[in-house]
Amino acid sequence: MKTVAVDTGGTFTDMVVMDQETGEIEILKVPSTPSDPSQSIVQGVLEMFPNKGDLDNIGTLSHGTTVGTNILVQNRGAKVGLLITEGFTGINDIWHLPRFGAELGNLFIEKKPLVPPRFRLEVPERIDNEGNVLKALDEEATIQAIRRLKEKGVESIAVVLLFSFLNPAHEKRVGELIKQEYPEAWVSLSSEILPQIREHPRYSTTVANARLDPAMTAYLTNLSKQLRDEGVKTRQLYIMQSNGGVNKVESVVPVTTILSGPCAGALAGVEIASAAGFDNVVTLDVGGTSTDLALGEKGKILEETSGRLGDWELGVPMLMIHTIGAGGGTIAWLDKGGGLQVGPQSAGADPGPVCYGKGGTNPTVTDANVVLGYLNPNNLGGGKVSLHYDKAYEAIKEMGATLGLSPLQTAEGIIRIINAKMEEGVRAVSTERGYDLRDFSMVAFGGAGPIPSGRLAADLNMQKVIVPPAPGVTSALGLLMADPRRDYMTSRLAPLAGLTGEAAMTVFSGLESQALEGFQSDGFPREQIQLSRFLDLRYQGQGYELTVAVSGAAQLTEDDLKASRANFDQLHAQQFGHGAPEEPVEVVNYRVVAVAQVRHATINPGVAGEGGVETARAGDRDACFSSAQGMISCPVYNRALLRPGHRLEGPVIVDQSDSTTVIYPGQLAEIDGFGNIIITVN
Amino acid sequence: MVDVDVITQEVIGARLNGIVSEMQVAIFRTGFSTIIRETHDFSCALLDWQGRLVGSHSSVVGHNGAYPYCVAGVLEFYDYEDMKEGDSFVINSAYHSGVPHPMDIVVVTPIFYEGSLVAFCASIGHKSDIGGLAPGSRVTLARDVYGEGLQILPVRFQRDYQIIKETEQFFRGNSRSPHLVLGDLTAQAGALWSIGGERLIALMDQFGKEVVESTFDLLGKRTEQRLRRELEEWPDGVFEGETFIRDVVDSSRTIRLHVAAIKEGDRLIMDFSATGDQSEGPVNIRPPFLRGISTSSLTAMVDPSIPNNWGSQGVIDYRFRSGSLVDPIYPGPTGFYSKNLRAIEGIVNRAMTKASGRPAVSFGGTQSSMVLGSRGASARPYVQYEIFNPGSYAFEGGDGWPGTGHGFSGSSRFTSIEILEAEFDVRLLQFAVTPDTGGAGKFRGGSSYRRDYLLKGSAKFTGGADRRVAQGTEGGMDGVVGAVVINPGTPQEQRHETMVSSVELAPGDVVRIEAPAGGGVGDPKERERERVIHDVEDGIVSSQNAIDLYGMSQRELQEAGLGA
Repeated sequence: MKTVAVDTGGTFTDMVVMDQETGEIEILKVPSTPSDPSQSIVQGVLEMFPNKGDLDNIGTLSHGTTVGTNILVQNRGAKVGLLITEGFTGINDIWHLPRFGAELGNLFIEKKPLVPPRFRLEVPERIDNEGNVLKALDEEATIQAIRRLKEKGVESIAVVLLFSFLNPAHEKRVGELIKQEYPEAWVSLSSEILPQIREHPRYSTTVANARLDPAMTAYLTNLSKQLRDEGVKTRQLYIMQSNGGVNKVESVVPVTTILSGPCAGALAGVEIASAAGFDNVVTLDVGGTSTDLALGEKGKILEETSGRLGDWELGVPMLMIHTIGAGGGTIAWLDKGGGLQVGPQSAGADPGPVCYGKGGTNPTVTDANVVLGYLNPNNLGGGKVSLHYDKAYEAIKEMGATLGLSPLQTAEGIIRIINAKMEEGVRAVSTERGYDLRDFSMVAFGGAGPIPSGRLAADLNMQKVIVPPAPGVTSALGLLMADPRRDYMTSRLAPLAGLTGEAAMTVFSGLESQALEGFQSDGFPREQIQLSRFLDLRYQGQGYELTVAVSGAAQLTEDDLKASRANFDQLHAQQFGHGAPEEPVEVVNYRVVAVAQVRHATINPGVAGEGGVETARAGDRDACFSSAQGMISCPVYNRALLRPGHRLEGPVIVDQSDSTTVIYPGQLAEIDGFGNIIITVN
Repeated sequence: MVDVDVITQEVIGARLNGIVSEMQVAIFRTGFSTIIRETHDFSCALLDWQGRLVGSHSSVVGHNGAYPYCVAGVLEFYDYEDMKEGDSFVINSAYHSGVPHPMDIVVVTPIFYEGSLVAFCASIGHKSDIGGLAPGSRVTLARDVYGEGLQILPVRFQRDYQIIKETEQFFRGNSRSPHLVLGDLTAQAGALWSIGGERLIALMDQFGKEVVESTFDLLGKRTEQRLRRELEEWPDGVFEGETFIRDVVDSSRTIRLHVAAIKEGDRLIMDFSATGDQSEGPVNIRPPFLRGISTSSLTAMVDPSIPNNWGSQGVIDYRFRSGSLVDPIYPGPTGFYSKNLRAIEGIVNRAMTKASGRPAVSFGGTQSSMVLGSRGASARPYVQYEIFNPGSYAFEGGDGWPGTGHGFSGSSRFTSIEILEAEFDVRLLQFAVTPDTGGAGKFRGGSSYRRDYLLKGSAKFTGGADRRVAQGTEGGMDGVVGAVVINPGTPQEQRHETMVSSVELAPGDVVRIEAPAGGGVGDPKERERERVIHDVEDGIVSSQNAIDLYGMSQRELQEAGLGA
């Protein structure tokens, strides 16, 4: 049987097919079809399996998608209606989030509620902070509100009532009434999407889900149908979630897919490095418009329980991924003070860098890499895209003339500036969180990651650079390494000191049975499902929580809770420099993470090669490693022919269909047993 | 000075941004008090050996203007020869540094490279308590700085990386929460050395001391040049910003806030000298903060990503009149300076948008606050502290909005209603926008909103906002003023349009916060009809006002399905 992974990016859709018995891997890149991403997926599958009969061999298909992210970022998606507790319309109508990023210092922006108030209606009801009903749900008024939303042409309805995480009865009833009055509508109940205390993140997450619901579901349904129509029979279709696990297409909650794209890459980077013996890594995934960075400690990626995407505050568990506006398409420009600036604007895929010849006139990072000779103009995307060296050279020359710099100096300058920004990004995920980069290596992937990685790691005093065998499709590979995972949570604010093991167990048991039910209805046997318990704790009165693990014992005792408390003090000390073991601690949230153990991709050792490294030599190319020295002749090797044990001494360029690796002068590289290039940087 | 190519300048510039951002995160991570971790009322900066700003990280833009004066304060009392590695200095006197009020303590550490002083790292952070009349040290009753707690002229805080015993004892004896004050100060100093100092030294190791120092100079010059080129394109002339506030001591007294932006060639003078006399109460603001706001306003007109450094700061010249509200004479108190920040931002942005020809802006409302403290022996003890951002200004091109996230200082979040009810003896009855409150205009001011608290126990209430009308402009109308209303809609209703202190409340009482609204921009009759219709549908504007103020006809409303 074969496992298929598909990662949809802005420019290319990457596919990896793995043979489940041999672990052998085939890769394919097809141009993306942004208007309907499923087209390129189906086309790719048919290209990978030209014989119809072979489609039966597809055991599972996993998919990483940016459909959800793009809908929220571009402010598209369904026309959403909101039903909210009477009197509390301010949760929607009044802006709750501080500015960040490019908005800081900008006086000329306008914020509008996530749901226009004309589509936000009130429901007479009220539940108190202990879950008691203060005011019963007025069903007649609710029905009227639902009918009005229907008249207004709302397609998807979010229901957010105060304290519904404690007592979901009113929300559930509103859901039933919607089904009765307006069965075609999509419904997102906050008590189901995010049963968590703090109304604003719960509201924002629920509205985001309502926004995504129709389009995501239509997309996934259409994808499943098209694949079935073409003869793909498997029912094992998975979607990558922000939590680093996959979920079945029919069970996935749309809002949990927001980081679907970058998660898979980070996951693969960490797994590949672990297999190769590197437990502490920073993953560097450089694409066309941005760079995604994550930190893996002891083989595990740091997670967080909420995040922000533009105007959306999303309370879903997600891998901690830091994105900066630095990629191949990032534009270089001159400011009025006579300075050279790089980014954050990007030329995107269209028109793209000048060297694409599609009308781009602003020099980009990719153009600089072409001028410096790092990129083979005839080799991008395995020869599917040819680059116009001359156009890139002219654009960079012109920019340099204004600055009084030679074309090489200008190209080198663009790279030095973007590298400095990437290095600050690496620091943001590592040193800023208290980690010492000398203990870390860098895993470099994405089409454009392995070009700067040697320089970045050297400047940052990191140990090694690991370049996986197929850097351009590493994200797709990550999809093959993810386990099915579902997160369950609920809020019960209470002092930890007064909590009995029994009371905690009651809450956890409830979450665990939900988890088992969910997975078993997807066809996973009980013994494959692994459950982990967590508590979000805080010192009384603090505005933020830390997540700590709780014993998995069949019955919890007070000692188990004390152990969690001790872990909390320790974690607080590690993250914030001090703990307060004498201060009272409060429980805020209970969490259960359920993972189904399935057989997934393992990293296979490569095959030791016949013959020496020179068998992989693919000639020479002029490249520039210092503008003072100018262009020098640099040996070029073909990645496909490099074998474990081969050694390279920089300067060397390694070409392969999906990426280019640069080994800088003075750096040594060796192909390890898994086919990774391991670069010793210093 | 050595010549440094533009590429190296930009690379070092990116590093400097990284250094200040890493210092900021380190202080956030290691600070003790909730002020640092939840209110984020702190910042940090890097300055050259002369005390010129090289880089900063701040959500409080006024701090940028303050830093050079903080280093100057240290240099006034300590010679370069008297400083060595491992020293740090603290100041909180608003008259001997740039800090706006004594609750903000600045830590300044000299950084040495191969034996010579090459830079200063500095951090301003609000402190939980520095003594004085009441917890938190800020009191409206203060009539001089001595009523606002401990006053620290520049003193050495640490030597050889250790807190000096005498200084520590001094702090211990002058705060209700000395462990929080000392914990935060230690976190500030630690980040300045271990991140700022070490990374700066590494940068000099890599590029050479002269290259880095020359880059400090060149980056500033380039920023200044870039801004001056922009200024040359602006028309010459005098452009004014003006508003009026009520004095905190005598609420019948109106104080004029005024600035004239005098633009001539590539020069810009911000002349605040026509601003009214200083207050006897603690609402005065010292000039450094106004410099910070003016610089940020200037860069906002051109490109908000322009670095805030000595170069951008050097573009503007200033005139202040000693004895005015914005240049008070010692020992005038400044504890509640922030009450007037939005008004100051408003006049500066008004003048600056006129001078630059950027979209006109109106005034936003004033921030309000509330402190609710439980009372009585049987009550569960608590202090509930909240900040409410107002309805914001509008601009030619966009409406204002109520709540968080506007202007230079609107970053405080709302406290969760569910958390409030779970933790305190209150129940929220309402949280909703009030119709017909934002100043009408072609672009409408941000609305007022109501937040009603039902008390379940006895408590003392302090809060509200100073009365100030957020003016509209270019034909736009004013926003409504804010208020605190006790027991609204009952015969006992009391309405306060200024701050109130220590109001005794009993179980069953209701406190309503009405946030001030922002002013509008432009003639309301010119407002896009679709925006008016949406405002009516959205409950922001009544049908009556749509007709009276916006000039909608009954028929237009009916056609939109809004029978008036």
